[in-house]
Amino acid sequence: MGLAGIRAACVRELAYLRTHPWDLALATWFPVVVLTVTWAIFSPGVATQLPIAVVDEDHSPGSRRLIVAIEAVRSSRVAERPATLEAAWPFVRRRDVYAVVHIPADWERRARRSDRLPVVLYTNEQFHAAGSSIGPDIASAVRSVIGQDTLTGLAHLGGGISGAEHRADAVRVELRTLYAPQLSLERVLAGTFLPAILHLFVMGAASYAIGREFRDGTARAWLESAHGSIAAAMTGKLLTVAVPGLVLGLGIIAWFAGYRGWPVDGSLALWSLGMLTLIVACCAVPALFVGLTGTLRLALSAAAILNVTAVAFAGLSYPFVSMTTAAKVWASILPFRYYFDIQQQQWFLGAPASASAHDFAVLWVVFIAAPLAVALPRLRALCHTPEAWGRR
Amino acid sequence: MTFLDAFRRSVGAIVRDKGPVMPATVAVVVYCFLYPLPYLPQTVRDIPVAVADADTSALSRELARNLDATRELEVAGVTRSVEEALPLLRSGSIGGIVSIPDHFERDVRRGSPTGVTIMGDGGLVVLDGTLLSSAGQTTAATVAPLVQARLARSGLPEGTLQASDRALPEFVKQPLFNVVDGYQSYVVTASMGLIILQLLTIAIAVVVGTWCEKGEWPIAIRGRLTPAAFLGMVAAFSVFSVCGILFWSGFVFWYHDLPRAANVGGVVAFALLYAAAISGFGVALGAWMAERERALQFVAACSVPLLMFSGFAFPVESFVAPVRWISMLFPSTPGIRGFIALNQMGARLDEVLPQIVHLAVLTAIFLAAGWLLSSWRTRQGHKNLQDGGTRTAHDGAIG
Repeated sequence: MGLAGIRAACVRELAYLRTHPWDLALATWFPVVVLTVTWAIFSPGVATQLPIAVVDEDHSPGSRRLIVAIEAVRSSRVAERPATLEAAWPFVRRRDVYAVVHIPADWERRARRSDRLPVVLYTNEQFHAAGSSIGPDIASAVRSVIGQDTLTGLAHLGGGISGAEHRADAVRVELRTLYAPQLSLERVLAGTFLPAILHLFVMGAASYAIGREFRDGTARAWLESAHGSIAAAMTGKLLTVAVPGLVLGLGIIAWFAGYRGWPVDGSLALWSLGMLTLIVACCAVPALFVGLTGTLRLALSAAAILNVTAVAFAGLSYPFVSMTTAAKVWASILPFRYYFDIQQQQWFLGAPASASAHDFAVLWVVFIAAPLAVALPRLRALCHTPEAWGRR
Repeated sequence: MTFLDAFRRSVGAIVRDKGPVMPATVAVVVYCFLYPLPYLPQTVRDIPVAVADADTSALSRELARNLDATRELEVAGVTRSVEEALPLLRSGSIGGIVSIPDHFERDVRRGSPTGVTIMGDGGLVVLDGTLLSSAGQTTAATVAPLVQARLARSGLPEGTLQASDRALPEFVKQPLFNVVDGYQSYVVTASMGLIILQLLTIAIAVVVGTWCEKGEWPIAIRGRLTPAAFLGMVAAFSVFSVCGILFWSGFVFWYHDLPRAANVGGVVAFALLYAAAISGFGVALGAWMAERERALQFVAACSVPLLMFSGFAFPVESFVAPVRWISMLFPSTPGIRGFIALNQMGARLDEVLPQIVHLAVLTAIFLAAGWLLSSWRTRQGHKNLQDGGTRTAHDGAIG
């Protein structure tokens, strides 16, 4: 594999890109647009002021105090005040509100008799993200109001309110979210989705770049441009995909860890190396698909199936440990899952290099070396088999 | 070319060609088993935690046992300090740490201030939220009897304590529609609209892209596409979308036991509109790209933002204004919201009126765009063939 061959194949590919705007767009500026929009979705970081309804059937000083406490929470705002629960449901079905707080009749009077009724929060769990933001805030507002009444009761035991606080708070349970205490969805979700989207684009562009040589019957010219070396032909061609991909990948890291200022608890170099490894894998795997099928459409289909499930199986939206065995097996054939581990370890967890060694090894051996070992001889043979070209 | 002729030829163009028939039919079925796979257990379970037990008392061991007994948590190890457990967290072997301080049981019995610290991996939001909530409740329940005994010793009347034991909870969170609070019920139902849109857009764009490449549209005569022929093609493509939606709304939601408060009539009516929008979108995209395989590359890469635009993972009320405007350009945005309301929430059609109006406007826009681009491509293709057959370079064996 000579440098001259790589250079010649690269120049040939660049000339093609100059005259084919779709290929150029999908390898360069269009991913930037999609990545920017996706980041912008999560840029507010946390959901605030989500509309909720409050049904107050008690109409007592206590219930009004509770509503004032609910109105003060960050995640929600009281948008509707229907008189009954029946009147509240249409607001939920129209998605005018994400949740309904119900304060039952006699709530305060029965609480005074130590026979309290619960305050019920109905959350629309078809929009779980909204419900999970609202739930803890409303719960803590309710408990804070009820807690004051409890303290008043305990104060009768002596020591006044301070004595009551001492009794009530003797055993504290402190909940700490490590590594991302801000609970910012920008960092956690956009931080995962952006590399995932980038790997979709790189894998698609690599599939197209290799596959169209066989579709268009130009495979022999491609091989000859690299002086007959399939490795040089592949390297030269895929540099036009990998370099923009790597620039965007490092740009994502620089955006989050630099401009946005989210700290890197582990090694920035290892995280960047992980990104490089993912991009290379996203070039090697499509080479295997084209080599095995010889058809652009099938290679793109295989890449799409592998890709679009990447986020779901990575373990972000649902913990990997809780998945079924079948899901874990499928996840194990997705290169993004290993990159995701590296990113989590180096960005959030501050893990040593040894902790990421396994994921690097799998990516380099299973998703780069092995596919190329199979693909290169296959692609070389295909380049000399014109009758196999042009399959759609 | 009549409406029926165009309908028949368009159906044939999908079913007789492996390129579009796979996404339009086979993938619609395959995805109903593949996509829900990670979420099958519905709720988060068996998160490995380490208990950093500096107390090693009967109470701390009871707390560790109670944590292990929950559905959500699994005690993966017990250490003497947080420092010993941290390497396990950093390597990803555990999802969190429950730290029990020295003299914990003694302080609980005496009423001296003490506390349990529960730490979760904030990089995995779902895991973190479940772990903190479950471990917090378990800890409170474990120490409750000792706290009650201390309050009794400190003079709280026994009647009050008994009343407290019998009391209803002060706060109840009741999930609506997705009553098991399940991730499969939440993610898979929302994704249906996107899955159908993506697969059918690919199928339609493959057909239209193929016709554009050849320069010959089987539904056009001498480069002229009539409105009846265009509508026949749209109707044919829409049949596949409607079948896909009904398969998911009927079989898939039943098979996976997902929430079904279905307004069946409403779903069918909305599906017809959504299918027309998909057809317009697919035809416009296919005619614009004019390349058989391009949609496979393009559509798959846009899946994440299209799903997120629906607001199911991050509420639309929190979107910044430009994102809200962009999100309104795609049929999946009102489509996903409308199908959730009709399928899972049992909404009436008048309750999804904003989604119907939004989708109707997009349908009209995409059908108009599809009509203009198709007419232009048919004329252009006919002219090219008459000028000497300048077909695109990548002609090949299709089907």
